[in-house]
Amino acid sequence: MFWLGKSIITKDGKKTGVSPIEYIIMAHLRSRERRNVDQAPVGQYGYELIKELNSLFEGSWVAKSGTIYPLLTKMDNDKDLLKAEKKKSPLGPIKKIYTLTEDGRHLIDSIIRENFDADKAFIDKYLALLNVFEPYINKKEDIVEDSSYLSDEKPRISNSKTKSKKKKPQGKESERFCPNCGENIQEISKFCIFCGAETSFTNERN
Amino acid sequence: MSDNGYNNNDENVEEFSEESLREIAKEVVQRRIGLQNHLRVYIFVNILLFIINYLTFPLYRWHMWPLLGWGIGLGYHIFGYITFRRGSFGDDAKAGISYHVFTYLIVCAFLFWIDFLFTGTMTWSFFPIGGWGLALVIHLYVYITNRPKTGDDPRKSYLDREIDKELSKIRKN
Repeated sequence: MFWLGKSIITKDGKKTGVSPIEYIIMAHLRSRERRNVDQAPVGQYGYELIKELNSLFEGSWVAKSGTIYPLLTKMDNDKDLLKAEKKKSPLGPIKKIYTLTEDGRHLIDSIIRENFDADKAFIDKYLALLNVFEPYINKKEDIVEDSSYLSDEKPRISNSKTKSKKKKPQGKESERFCPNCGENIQEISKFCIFCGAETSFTNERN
Repeated sequence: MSDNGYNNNDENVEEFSEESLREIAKEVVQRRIGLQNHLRVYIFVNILLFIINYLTFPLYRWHMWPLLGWGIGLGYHIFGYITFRRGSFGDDAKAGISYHVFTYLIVCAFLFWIDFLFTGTMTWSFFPIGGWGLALVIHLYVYITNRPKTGDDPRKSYLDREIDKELSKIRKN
């Protein structure tokens, strides 16, 4: 499956060393070549490449220039999958054109050939999964609408990584008791999780 | 192009689409407006300084200093715009030598003018003009001898290109 993980893997589990975004960039450039007259190699101006990626992923992902340009440079200098050439535009100014190298072309063709059926099958299954929701979304029934789940400012689902970094108090420190019901609360909170009374912590049970 | 952009086969796919050209044209226009504004401010401020100079202390023409100092900056701006507009610099080495020559000419003219203004002849300015000129000649020599020849990959450094040539010689033998 092409959009998960650090590196694209083939159906046999072989790692290709190509990240999902790199894969998308290469597939996009390769599809342009395939569509071109006589399938002749053709590059693309970086600005336009980003614009077309944004059009492809509209509503689900934003290809930012700060993400894409460093990747293009890496694919040119380190991985030799792309070739960045400075070319004079019809208006005069020189701009960088990104074209697949022979290696890049062979690699993307191999990955697509290898994963084509599996990817298509996955997309069909994913569509079937989404289709289950369609009637509910259209009727606006049974779907809990709460925009706070999608809020940027204060997301309801916190990042588990940052949560796990918090050190839990060790030993006796972790024993905190509610002054009202006497239950062991353990975590620092303003209200008791058992009776709801306001807490002023004590390390001794009532 | 089709609605989603991926359906048609055998179309003439180009490196620069109409939209890209519009974006490049926008950049050109923005740069030109920036340069025009710079020029307007330069003229306005220097006229103002000239008037202040003339009204307060006409014996010493100090307004020439900002006029020339800022003039160097403005010269760079004009040079940058023209080279961008014409697409003059396909590689960094060419841009490097061009800016070096331009800087040499504009700064040396400035130094010569100061020298001539105070001494009436060329006395000390000969030293920076000559010394720097020698360095410029060396830079030109290195640029001409190391620049990529026809058929070479312009993105590769001189060293890499030499290594490639050496490898191809070995393979031939």
